[in-house]
Amino acid sequence: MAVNNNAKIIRREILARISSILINEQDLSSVDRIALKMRPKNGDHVRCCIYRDRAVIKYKIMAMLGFNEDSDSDELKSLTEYIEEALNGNTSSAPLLNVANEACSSCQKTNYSVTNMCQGCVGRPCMVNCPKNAITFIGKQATIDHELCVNCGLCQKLCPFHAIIYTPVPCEESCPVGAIEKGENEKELIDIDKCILCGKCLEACPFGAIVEKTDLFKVIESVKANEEIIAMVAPSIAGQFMDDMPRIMGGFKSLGFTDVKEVALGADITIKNESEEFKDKLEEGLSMTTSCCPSYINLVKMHGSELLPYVSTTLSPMEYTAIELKKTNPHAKLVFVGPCVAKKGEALQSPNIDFVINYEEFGAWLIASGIELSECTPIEADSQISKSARYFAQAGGVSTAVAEQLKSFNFDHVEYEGIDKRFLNKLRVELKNKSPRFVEVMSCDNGCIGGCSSLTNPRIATRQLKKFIN
Amino acid sequence: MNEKKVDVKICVGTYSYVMGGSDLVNLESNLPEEWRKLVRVSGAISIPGCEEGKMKPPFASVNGKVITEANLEKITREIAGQLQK
Repeated sequence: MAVNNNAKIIRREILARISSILINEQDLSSVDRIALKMRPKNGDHVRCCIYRDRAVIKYKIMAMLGFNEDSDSDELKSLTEYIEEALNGNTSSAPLLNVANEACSSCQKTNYSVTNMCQGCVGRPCMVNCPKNAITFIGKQATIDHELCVNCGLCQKLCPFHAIIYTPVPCEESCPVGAIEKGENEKELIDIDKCILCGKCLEACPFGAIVEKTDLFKVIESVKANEEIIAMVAPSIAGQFMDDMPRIMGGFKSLGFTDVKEVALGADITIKNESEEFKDKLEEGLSMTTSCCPSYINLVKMHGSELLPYVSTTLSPMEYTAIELKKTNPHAKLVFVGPCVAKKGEALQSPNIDFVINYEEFGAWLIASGIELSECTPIEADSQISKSARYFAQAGGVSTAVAEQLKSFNFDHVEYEGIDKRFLNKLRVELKNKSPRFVEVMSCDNGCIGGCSSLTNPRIATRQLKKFIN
Repeated sequence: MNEKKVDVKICVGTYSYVMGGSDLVNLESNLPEEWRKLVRVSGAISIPGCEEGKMKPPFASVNGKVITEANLEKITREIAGQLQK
């Protein structure tokens, strides 16, 4: 969900500064000066000193390019060299999410601790009820033995003075599948065999240590080379700016794209095919879940494969749009523009999509190009696209569309938004124990409009989306 | 009582908006109830003096006073100051 914080703003500033160099300068060596410009001598710093801040910026840039700190065997290797390597495709197979160790604060794993609000009471319910005898009193102060504590939280619930606090490790806490945990030196590590690319850690880390690999610079190079390149914009983009959708679409033309198309075009095909598939599933007496959220698909494939028979095999709107565009533009490069990192993962499996950029990256590119959306020539929306297809942007949009498509059928539908640690078990109960129904699943709260790379608070974005559709 | 409203402008230009200005769009609903009749909030594409590169976004202005790196707290504090005048 888009709640801005300084870590996000720093990410956007880095993206905008690199983009500006790519667009406006022949020589890329200014990339090595970005950290100095962002943290100038005698200026403010967030960490211990400007030098540490500058090092963090350098490692974040490396991670954005797809290099992790293990790549940094030669510490004198310049960012210019790294960016040249990345533009040449040397990091194409690098993970989409990386931890920039230098930025990781190694948040303490100790989850429960006793504050000095402890009154040393006579009842001592924390100590009496602790199932592991982890609490003792030293003088009038309770202390927790973290070797024994299993983080059950009972002491916190029972303390009459609210003297026991819980301190999470934000990235670990947010991950629905336990894919991020401490490695050596207490730094966090992402297990790519478990990670479903939901992007929740990316949003949760207050140090901005989780970094998303970007295709943005390759796309800029492609536009600069005057290649035929088409932007395919997800329906949720309509809510991302205060400008209306035709101006946002116009922004892509101003950036130099050959053309720009709405992915809602493919959503209409998804509605039709998914509705047909659901009818077949009903005949088999099975529930069916949606398939358009790639993070949810990753969740089932990696952590609940026994549920795969319930998942629709209909392609996502992104894929159908790309297939349609390839029919008429076989040589064009196709760039999906969307709200999340999971779509980058989905695109890697697709023969039709060349690149994915997210809304933050699009915004940074506009800044670097000095483009003001309100001044862009509007591109009128495609009148062939249904309202239902455009509502895919918000939670409930897909099931509403299928319900409309199958008006004559009497069936139940249920929507889940926001995958958390308990979700998979809930889904198992939903699919195996309840009567057959249509189940919509969106990894993010509010659906795509609340994606991890969105720019606007979902409440405002929803208002903007409705204004466009109606 | 001074009938003139405090004039608040929020920059919704692309640069400012992407760099955090999107959080300011909801300013009006975050103001204390008793202020709402005394404050007029509007969007602006550009705030005088906020040319790109010279000051840090997001931008807002309160009765013409430009606020850089604006956030809800900074703007609210400035409105309070203007209301006391």
